[in-house]
Amino acid sequence: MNTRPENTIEGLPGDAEIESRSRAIFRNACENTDSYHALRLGMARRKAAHVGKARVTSRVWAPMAGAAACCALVIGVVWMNPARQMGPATTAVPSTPVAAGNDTPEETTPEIGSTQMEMVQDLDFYRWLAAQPAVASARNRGSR
Amino acid sequence: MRETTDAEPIPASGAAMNAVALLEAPIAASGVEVSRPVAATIEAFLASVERRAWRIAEIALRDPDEALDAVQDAMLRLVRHYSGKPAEEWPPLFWGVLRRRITDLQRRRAVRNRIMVWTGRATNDDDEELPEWEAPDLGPDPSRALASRQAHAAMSAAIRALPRRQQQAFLLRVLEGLDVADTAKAMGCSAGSVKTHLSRAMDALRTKLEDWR
Repeated sequence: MNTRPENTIEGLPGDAEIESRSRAIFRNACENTDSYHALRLGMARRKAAHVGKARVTSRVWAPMAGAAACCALVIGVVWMNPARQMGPATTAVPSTPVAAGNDTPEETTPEIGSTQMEMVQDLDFYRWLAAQPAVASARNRGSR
Repeated sequence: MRETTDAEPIPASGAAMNAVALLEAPIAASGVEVSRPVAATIEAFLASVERRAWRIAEIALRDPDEALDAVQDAMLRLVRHYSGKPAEEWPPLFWGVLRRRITDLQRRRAVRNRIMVWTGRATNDDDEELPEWEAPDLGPDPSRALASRQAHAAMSAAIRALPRRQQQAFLLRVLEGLDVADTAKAMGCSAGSVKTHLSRAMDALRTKLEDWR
């Protein structure tokens, strides 16, 4: 600082005197702060410190909450993936009538199901036929 | 009035200072700066600085409640944004935040006054010297306390009459006792500017020292 010695020409005080004088007055004023404002200052300080502590707590918990959310997301994605793979097999049957367009149920389902139904109905016959190999082969030989 | 040495630190307020460990800061080489301990925690730092901050804001704003708001805001901002910084950096940061807050309030008040002038409801706050409310003095020497209050009021009025940058340089450099580098940081200017502002402030205050006695 540009300190100036006592101003002897005009009899005015120098920088050092101004500083010491103003500091003494200021110090006295600080020491004699009234209780009301001292209390409010203390409350303001405690509030600021509380905000700081809350911030520290959030700094600890925020990454943990974020990590938990990421884990939940990953688990959800993994959980949903098998369902998607199973999806086409289960949804193929319902998609058939949609793909068939204007076809009526009588025209579509019997075509697939009719042979199967005939097979089921003729199953007894085929079983009986399978049980009679000797008779059938003997008739064939006799006709020759 | 009790005389004090320049290097004697202004005591901290409250019991919070007693509850925390304090590390001794290096004493400034120039002898102009006030050596103060470096607080170990931010709460201890705020406890050590709160009364001086409030008094300085009060000098600049001439309103105890507005000064209180400014100090509280500065405390909150320091804790929110700079609590992770090293303790040695807290003083210039805190005073920088407080200085900006005071400047904001002064500008807001100026705008409000202009609007009041236009609407014809202006109150001449800058020229009018209203009596300041002080708590009743219960000390043993009321006349001394009264003289102290009058000296403080005269000094505050003289400082308020300075241009804003000179005022800030005087408050931070002389009353708070920051060194030139920290004052420059808090004021957001160069060290040379701080010296210039302070020199002009000293010249302006020189003639008014008699009023402070």
